[in-house]
Amino acid sequence: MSKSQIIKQIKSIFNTHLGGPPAALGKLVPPKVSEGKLYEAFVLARIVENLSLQNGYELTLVGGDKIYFKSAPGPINTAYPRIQLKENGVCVAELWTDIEFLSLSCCIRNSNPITNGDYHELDIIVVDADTSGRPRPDTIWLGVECKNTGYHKALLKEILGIRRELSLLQEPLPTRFDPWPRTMVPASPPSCLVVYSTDPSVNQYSAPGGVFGIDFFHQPMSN
Amino acid sequence: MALSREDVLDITRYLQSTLRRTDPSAYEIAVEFTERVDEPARYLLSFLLTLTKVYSERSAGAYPDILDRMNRYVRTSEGGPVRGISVHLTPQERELYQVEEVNIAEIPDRTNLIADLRRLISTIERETERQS
Repeated sequence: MSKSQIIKQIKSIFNTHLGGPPAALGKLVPPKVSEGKLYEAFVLARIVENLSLQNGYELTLVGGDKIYFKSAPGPINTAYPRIQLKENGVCVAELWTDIEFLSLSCCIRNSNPITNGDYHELDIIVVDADTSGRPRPDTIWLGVECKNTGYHKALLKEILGIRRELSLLQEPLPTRFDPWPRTMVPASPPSCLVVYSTDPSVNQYSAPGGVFGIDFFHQPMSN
Repeated sequence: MALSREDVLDITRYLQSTLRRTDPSAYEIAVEFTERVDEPARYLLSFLLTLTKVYSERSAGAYPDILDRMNRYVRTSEGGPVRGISVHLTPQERELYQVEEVNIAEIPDRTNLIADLRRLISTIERETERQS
């Protein structure tokens, strides 16, 4: 095939798939608002699978029949649906999406008022049952970050900062989970912190996680 | 006819300029995450593979499997299935776009685009192998 035939093929691909008519008003929401959440939804499905199959939790969606992500993170709003983790029919923890947690440094300073540097976002979070607002580090069981497409050094630095604002480095303590994602973590409070990425190069950045208690999973969007 | 080095550079320029015009965010991500290599054919193939991955991760083709998996492990408090997965917009976005939420199922299904990109990759692989 010649150069001009290949260019014609590229032109045809773009015209067919990416050159559609102008969007209706309701479709004007920038794609990145929703498309970035697809990987979070994919990861969430993997997490509920692990919580159910490996840890034996009964999982109940309360407050609605749809799962919501948010285009911008915020405190826990109990008007939103969330997934309850139940043991023997009793809710022991709740899973929320796109939540800002109160930083450890803020709690140590007992800071009031709260400023922008006093909280950080996690894509998926499991906290004590009935927690509301911005959860404190000692109420957090699990934090999850989802990074699709590419993983690079800046994202490692970001997750190391998150770990620092969740916990202090400590001799391993028991987590709230058995066995997934881990039973012990070198952190106090002993929250689990997990990074999912579609990029295999995430494994090249995982070594510091062994020291600070961060688990990195290469999870491409496939079955 | 096998592709020359100049042909490959022309194709890369055409592809990137068209992508930048039609889908700037996909262009930026694909450029950022494509490994820099000196050999033009390898770079073009690597760029196309990254682009395919970008669209695979933005295709509602994955949605039914996600919802199915969710429903294998989660029930509503009434015992029913999870009905959907949506993104709730901020008050400013709601006012601007006049919608409360975006259903993830409404993200474009790019399965056919991905298949076409894979065919393009095969074609270029074939033509650049013949050249070498």
